[in-house]
Amino acid sequence: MEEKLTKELAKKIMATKGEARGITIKSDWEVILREKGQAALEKLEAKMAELGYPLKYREIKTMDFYPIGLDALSTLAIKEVFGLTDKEAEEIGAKAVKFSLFLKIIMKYFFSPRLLAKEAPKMWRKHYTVGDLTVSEFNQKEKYVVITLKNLAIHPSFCTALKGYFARIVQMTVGMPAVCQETKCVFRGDPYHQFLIKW
Amino acid sequence: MKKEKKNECLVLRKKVATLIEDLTSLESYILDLFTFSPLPICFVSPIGVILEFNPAFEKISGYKFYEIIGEGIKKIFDEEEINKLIKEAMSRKEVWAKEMVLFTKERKEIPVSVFAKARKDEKGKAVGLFVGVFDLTEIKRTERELEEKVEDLEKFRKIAVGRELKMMELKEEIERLRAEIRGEPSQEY
Repeated sequence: MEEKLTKELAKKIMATKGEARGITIKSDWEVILREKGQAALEKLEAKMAELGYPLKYREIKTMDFYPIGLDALSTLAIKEVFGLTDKEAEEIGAKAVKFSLFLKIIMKYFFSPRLLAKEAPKMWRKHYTVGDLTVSEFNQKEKYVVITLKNLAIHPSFCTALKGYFARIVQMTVGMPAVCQETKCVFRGDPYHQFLIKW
Repeated sequence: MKKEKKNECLVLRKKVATLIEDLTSLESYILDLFTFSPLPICFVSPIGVILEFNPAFEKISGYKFYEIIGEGIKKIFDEEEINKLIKEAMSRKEVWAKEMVLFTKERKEIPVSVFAKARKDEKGKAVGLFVGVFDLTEIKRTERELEEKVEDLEKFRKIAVGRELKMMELKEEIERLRAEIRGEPSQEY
């Protein structure tokens, strides 16, 4: 049963230490604006205000730093306001990659999966000031990569969005469909998050 | 000492805030310029994946931005031809006015002139390419119309010249007959 997004939950999520670049929030909202329109975006803005953390799409600075909780809260708000399933929420994360100018600026890593694997920790740090991302396994022949994310526990919905995000980045690098599966998660009792991405 | 550190921290924060303001303005400028351009422009990764696509490209191709980002550019150009162009642009850094056919979402063929330029990283390594196209439909149509007009003129010229020759022949015949009537010896014209 999905936990309802209440003011208490929002407060708990917002207490997470660390920051995220504005693009992590803005690109998700861009998907909502493009796919659902201005009225839907306003609903989302209203939800954030209702939770006690008002945020306006136009005012989000893509390069600025925001509390990481705000990114997770935005993900949860999108899911609740539009009644999305986990799969649909994952898809928002995947689509957000397409709107991320920031990603395109650092896209020099979209050269080969090997280079992407090498540069992934740096890419993570450009987005978030917390959480330690490493590539634990990379197999070009078998076409998969295993990403480990330590020292970060915000909310399971955040992991869902990351799945979509990771899969799409790999897809854009290899030029063929990729799928991501979270094989380990701190919210399932594991010591860290682990993502398996296959293409 | 503590106060000094605090001041230093404040100055640094102000600098970071200024840098972020500048980056935001720069980002907005790039976006506005890219969106405004009446010429279709896209940005492609070295393996041919479309990473950026402006509204003019949406218009000419029929693909929406979110449909085409992350897809291969071979979706809108002949695979062999575009691979050759990518290779050429990545090695020579620039391709100028190469005539190609663009396939729209509805698989309509549009003749275009393609321009490509490699984007380089700080070490000078090509990390992708900008691809711009110029729609040749109108030019090709005008060319075809001109060709048709030239053909028509050629036909007319042939008819006109043929008529002129016939007139000359008839004139000679009349002169010959006149001479015959007058009992003059016939002349070869």
